[in-house]
Amino acid sequence: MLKKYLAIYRYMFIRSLQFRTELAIYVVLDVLPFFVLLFMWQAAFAGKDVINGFTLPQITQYYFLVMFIERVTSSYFENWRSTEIREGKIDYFLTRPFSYINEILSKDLGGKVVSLLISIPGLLAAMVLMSLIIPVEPLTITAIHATVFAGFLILGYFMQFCIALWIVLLTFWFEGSAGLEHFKWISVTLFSGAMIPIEFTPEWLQKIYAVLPLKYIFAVPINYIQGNILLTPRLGLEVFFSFLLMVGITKILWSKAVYRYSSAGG
Amino acid sequence: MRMMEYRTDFVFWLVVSLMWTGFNYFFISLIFGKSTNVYGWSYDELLIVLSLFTMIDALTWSVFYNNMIEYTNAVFNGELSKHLLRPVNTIFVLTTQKISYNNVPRFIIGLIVLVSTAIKLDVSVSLFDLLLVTLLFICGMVFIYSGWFILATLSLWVEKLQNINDIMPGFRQVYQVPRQVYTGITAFTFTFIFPIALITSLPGEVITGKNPPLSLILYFIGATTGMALLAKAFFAYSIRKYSSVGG
Repeated sequence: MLKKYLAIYRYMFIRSLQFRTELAIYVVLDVLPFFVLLFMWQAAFAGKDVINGFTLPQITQYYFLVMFIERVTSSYFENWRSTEIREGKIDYFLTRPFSYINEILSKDLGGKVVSLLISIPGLLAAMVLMSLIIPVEPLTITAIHATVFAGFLILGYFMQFCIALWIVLLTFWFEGSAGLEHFKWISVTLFSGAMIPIEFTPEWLQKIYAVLPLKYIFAVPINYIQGNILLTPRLGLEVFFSFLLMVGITKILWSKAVYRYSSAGG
Repeated sequence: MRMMEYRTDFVFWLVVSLMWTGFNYFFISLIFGKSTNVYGWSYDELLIVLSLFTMIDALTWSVFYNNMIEYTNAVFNGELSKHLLRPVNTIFVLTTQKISYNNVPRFIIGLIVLVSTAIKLDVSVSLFDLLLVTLLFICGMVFIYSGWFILATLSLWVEKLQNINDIMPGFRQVYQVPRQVYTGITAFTFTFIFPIALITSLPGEVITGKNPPLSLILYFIGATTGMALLAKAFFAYSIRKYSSVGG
């Protein structure tokens, strides 16, 4: 059962190696906005030691963690997958014992592993260089913290995968996906804690943030590894049920979407 | 007409474009909203720079992005010949094929915030200042265009770089804030080596009466001219490497 998807994973792993230069460029492009952002914070902290309980080195640490989580958990397959659906090229997966969703996951995982192998060293090097310019609070973590954090990263990846998949599946109704893709970026950035520590946001945003599960991608893991929160059974259950909910929505969307699909020719 | 092919997506693009604009203003307000002075800039003055950024960014995405994509795709697919054979300037044809209108509301919002903030700040802008701001704004556009075109022309030298058109937009955050925000080697890099921080900062300084040094204004105009000439020369040199496919 798993063997066929493993073959896809291996294929994508090898194929992704062709795009090494692109990956290196993406690392630089991912880091640059944060680099500018840290200068903005440095300017905001001019003449102040603490803003909303944060010092500048703590803010830098926060964004370093955001950068790391973003690189590990993000999924960007919406554009070409939506085109694939729009052009009626997924017949293959509907007529054979082959799950389209699992195929997307296998390929994305294959590409992700190569992407991480190439980009994480680059990202760490960029962080070291940035820390020479802007002060950063050192992070001390235990093995348990690191393990739980790794668990959060895996969960974050699957959550981001689900959201990206929703965009792809909505193509069955909306035809194009580019606008939806940006809508996803804004929503995730705004409601996950990736944009700014939640303490800096207004009350209305904090209320939305509290309800949505997006916080488990960035804000909760960061707060956990910084030692601001503990992994309680309640938190564990909340995370688990949020994930189940996202998987459930994906399954419902797929089951509805597949009936809307039509293609012509061979 | 092409954009109306996927109407829902077009409407979504409009909404998203407005959301990005709101997002940028909101984000700046979260960071600087409580600051009274950021390296000599008040929060309202920062809004002037952000509005100039919004307007330039809207034009960038409307005019440059699709055309640069078409250009690099034509190179990678070997279809550049049809443009080279036309009896008009190839660079002009390559960069005016497609214009998108879904960022127009962004431009208008940027302009409205710019004007309303200028009125709120009670800034007095002379005709000369207005002309200078317009000139610097155009220079900013030309600078981005030239830099982007040079990068897109690199597609004639490399096998296939999918994200070659993401590099120049990747630098856009740099000119979202005034040049004074950057310090040390970064300030030197973004002011003199690759003067991208001047794109919105200089016109912003003129509007807010901060009187930017004349030498810096002349330097930016010179750098933009140099960049445009370099883009043209690089294209003329690189096109020799191009080989088409089929007929």
